[in-house]
This record gives sequence, C-alpha cells and structure tokens, in this order.
Amino acid sequence: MAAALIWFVALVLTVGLSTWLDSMPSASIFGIPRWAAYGVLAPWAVFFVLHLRFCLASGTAKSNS
Amino acid sequence: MYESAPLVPVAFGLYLALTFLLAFLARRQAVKGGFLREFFIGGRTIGPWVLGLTWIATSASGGTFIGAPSLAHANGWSVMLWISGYIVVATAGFWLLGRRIAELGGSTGALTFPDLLRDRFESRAIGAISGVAMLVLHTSFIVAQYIAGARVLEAALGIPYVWGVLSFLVIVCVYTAYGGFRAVAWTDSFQAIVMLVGVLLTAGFGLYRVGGLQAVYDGLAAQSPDLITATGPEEFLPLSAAISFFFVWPLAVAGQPSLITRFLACRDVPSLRRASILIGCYILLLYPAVIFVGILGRVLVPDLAASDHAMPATILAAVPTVLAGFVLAAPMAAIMSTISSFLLVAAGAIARDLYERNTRAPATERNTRLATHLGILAVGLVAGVFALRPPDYLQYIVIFSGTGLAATFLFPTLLAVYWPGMNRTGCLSGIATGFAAFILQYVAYGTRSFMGLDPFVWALAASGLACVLGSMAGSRDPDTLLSRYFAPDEL
Repeated sequence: MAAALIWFVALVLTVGLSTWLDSMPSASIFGIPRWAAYGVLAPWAVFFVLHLRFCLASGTAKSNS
Repeated sequence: MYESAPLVPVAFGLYLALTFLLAFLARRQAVKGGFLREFFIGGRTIGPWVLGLTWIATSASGGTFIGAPSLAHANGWSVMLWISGYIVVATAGFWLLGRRIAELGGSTGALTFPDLLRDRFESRAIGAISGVAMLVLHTSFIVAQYIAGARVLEAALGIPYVWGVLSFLVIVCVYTAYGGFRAVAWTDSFQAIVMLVGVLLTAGFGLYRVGGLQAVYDGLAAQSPDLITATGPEEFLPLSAAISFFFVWPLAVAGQPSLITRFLACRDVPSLRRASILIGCYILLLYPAVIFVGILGRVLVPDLAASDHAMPATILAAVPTVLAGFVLAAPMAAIMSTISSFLLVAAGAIARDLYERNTRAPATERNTRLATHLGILAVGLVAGVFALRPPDYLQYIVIFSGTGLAATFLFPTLLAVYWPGMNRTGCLSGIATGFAAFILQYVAYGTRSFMGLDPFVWALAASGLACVLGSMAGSRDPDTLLSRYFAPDEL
C-alpha cells in the first residue's frame, strides 16, 4: 500500500511540477532546463532517499517481528 | 558510417571472453540435485549483490541503451520527463510484488512464473495460457534486443546488420543453454557493472567535448527551441503521454515475468531488501545519464545514418579512441543480459509449463533438459528471423512487449498473492481481458488510445476489473489451498 502511495505522489509531483514550470518562460539551472532540474531530477533525488528509508524501515520491522 | 576506434574489435573480443569465462565458472558452482531448480532459479541461492545486479541488467535492455538515447537524440530534454517513472521503479518493483513472491517461492517451491499462478489456483489451463502469452511477448522483446545488438555492431564495427543479428543469436543462445540461470545471473552482474561504467564515462567525456552543460543547452536551443521543452518537438510528449509513461515504467517493470522470476531465485527476504537498496542507487545513476548521453549526442553528432545509432555514434565521438571499444561493450552488455534472461524465461515456459507439467508420465531429467535446450534454440531462431526486418525506432517494440506482458499479468499476479478472494475464474478473466484489451487497442488506435493515454493504462484497468468481477462470479477456492498462501488472519 505504501509503495502504491509513493508511486501516486511521485506521479502528481513530477508530471505536475514539470508541466507547470515548462509553461513559464524557458530558463536553465547550470545548463539544465528549469523544468527538468526541479520537476524531474530534484524529485528523483527526494524519492531515492524515501526509497532508502522505506527499505531500511521494512528491514527493522522484519527484525523486530 | 562513423569513425571507428582501432581497439574496438579487441575490446569486444575481451568482453565476450570474460562473459564466457563467467558462464563457465557459474556452471561449476551449480548445486547438485534437480536440473530444473538449478537451471531456472539457480538452486534458490542467489544473494543480494547478484540479485540486484541481475535484476537491473535484465530490466535495462537494448531499449534503455539504444532505443531511449535515440529518442533523446530526436526529442531532446523531453525524454527526461518521458522516463521519469523510473523514479519509483525500485520501490514499486520490489515492494509491490518482490517481497511477497520471494516468500511464496520459498514456501511453495514454484520454479517459474506460470508455476506460481498455476499452483495458486490449481489450474493447468492458467499455467498453459500464461506460458503461451509469455512465449509470444517475450519473443517479441528478444526481437528488439537482436535489432539493438546488430545496430551496435553495424555502427561500431561496420558489420552488416544481418550478420550482427546472427552473431547475437549464436553467442547468447550458447551461454544461456550452457549455464542456465546461475550463468545468466553471474554474467548479468558483470554486464551491469560494464553498463554503468560505460554510460558514466560517455556522459563525462561527452560533456568535456561539448564544453559543459550550458554548451549542450545552447547547442540544442540553437538547433530548435523545442528540444529544451518538456513536450519536445512536434508534441512528442503531451500531458496525457507523460502521465501514461508514469504508469508504464514502474508498473510494466513490476509486472515483468522475467523480473518476477528473479524474486523466486532470491535466497531470503533480507537479501531482497539489500538488493532493493542497490537497485535504487543504480537506477538513480544510470537512467538520467543514459538519457543525457542521447541529448548531448544531438549536439555532438547531429546527423545519424540510422536513428538507433545515437548511443554508439556518441560513444565513438566522445570517448578517446583507446577507451571507446571498452565503453561500447556497455550497450552490448545491456542487450546480451536481457536476451539471456528472456530466453531463459521463454525456454522455461516451453520446458516446464507446456511440457513437463503437462505430460502424463513423469518427464525424465534427460527429456526435460532436451526440451529446455530446444526451447532456447527455437525462441532464439524465431526472434532472429523477425529481427531481419527492423522498424525505424526500436523503442516502440520494447514498449509494446514490455507493457503487453505487464497488462496481461500484473493484476492477476498482484491479486493472486494478496487477495484470498481471487479464484481461477478471476485469474483467467484478468489474463484474457488484459491481453485482448491491449492488443485490440494497439490494432484500433496505435500507441495513443482513449483520452490520448497509452493502451497499457486502459488494458491494465480492464484486467484489474476482470479479475475482481471474475472472482465474484466464480466460487471461492478451498481453505486447504488458501492456507498455503495466506496466514489464518488473512483468510
């Protein structure tokens, strides 16, 4: 259930933010289009951290049980 | 053709020699007792590192290394949004099904994916139907890999396309038939490392050649401002398609029988957790870099002889000649690891699900071994024949077969392992509806179905609904059967 929730939040955040930023005048962040930097690459890093926490937490739950 | 590096043939030869050496060593490590258990799931002894690397090597195919960079070359930065569903691939792949399948594999003794469904519902028909569907869709996936491999050989070594297909056919069939799952998993692990190093080197050298990220951005904007937008040239990625692909990548990967088989081979659940962490790191490094190589290739090598040459042409243009041959082994690795894994699953469908479990008298080990090897040869040959007439963009075959498999199997598998109310009527309805809805939409509407969404999204929804309605129409499975799959408080 948690995996499905993470997927849904990632979908709304990534597609929503990219589309919104792309509708603004184009700009680059260190040579990366702004919509890609904040709409795709930044969420990718955030959800990677979330994935790590999810894996580690499920391991703790297993060992506690 | 592109300017080739003199060491390319030497590097390719070295890479192939190492692959065969690993297959040989893996074969020597084979656990005695039970050909099928060893050949298809490596004796269920696969630990976290090999599990993680074989999973990623199977998932990252010729589509990832040849098809996706070609799309990025043609459509610029928009392909970064197109692939963004990979953000949650590791989370969805491992935690939606992985953990549960690993537990059930150990407790029920399932060796192949159709085994799992067949035993859960005690239905030969489900085993046979899923075996056939897997055979058809996996073969089309292998076709895509042959095309990708032949394109690499064509671009890098000038080998004629037909000979490239034949070379791949022989090389991969031999080491897959020789070593089985363990050899495939070991060579996959080596190939996964080659892939990551190759892509990161190409991205680094390419960036240096072009003059930095800003130079790539300016170069693309000068060619066409659409190359730096999220929708891309000629509306490549409208909002509906961006949403579709966020469904496609995580769910198509989670529902791949070849990846589900990896969970069956897993030693235990803690290994699965550690493998999942490894996969998350790997995906974070690999996928943005692969797309970026295609994007900078547009600046470095704007004109291509064939659209699927983007990756090899960029490697040859960006990487110093001394290293180019070794880096070109990266796409080769992606392609070979996927072909071998898919050949194994397709051969399993023939030997185990269509032959061994349907013979009246118990099949001898010799006959099962023969059926397995003939299965590998037959699937390899059929795919080779279809690969002789390649389409313009390889990635479309990859998406078709990958999403077709997931549309057919994701919901039936998900509900089979999580919902005690699911029965054989529901499972059969889900498989048949998912497969039919997917194929019919492709025939009627092509790649954009109702509301502009990918046919996969609607086929998946139809399959889920059919599973639930079918289960409600059929009778509940007996508690003696369900107790093998669910805890008492779940029933």
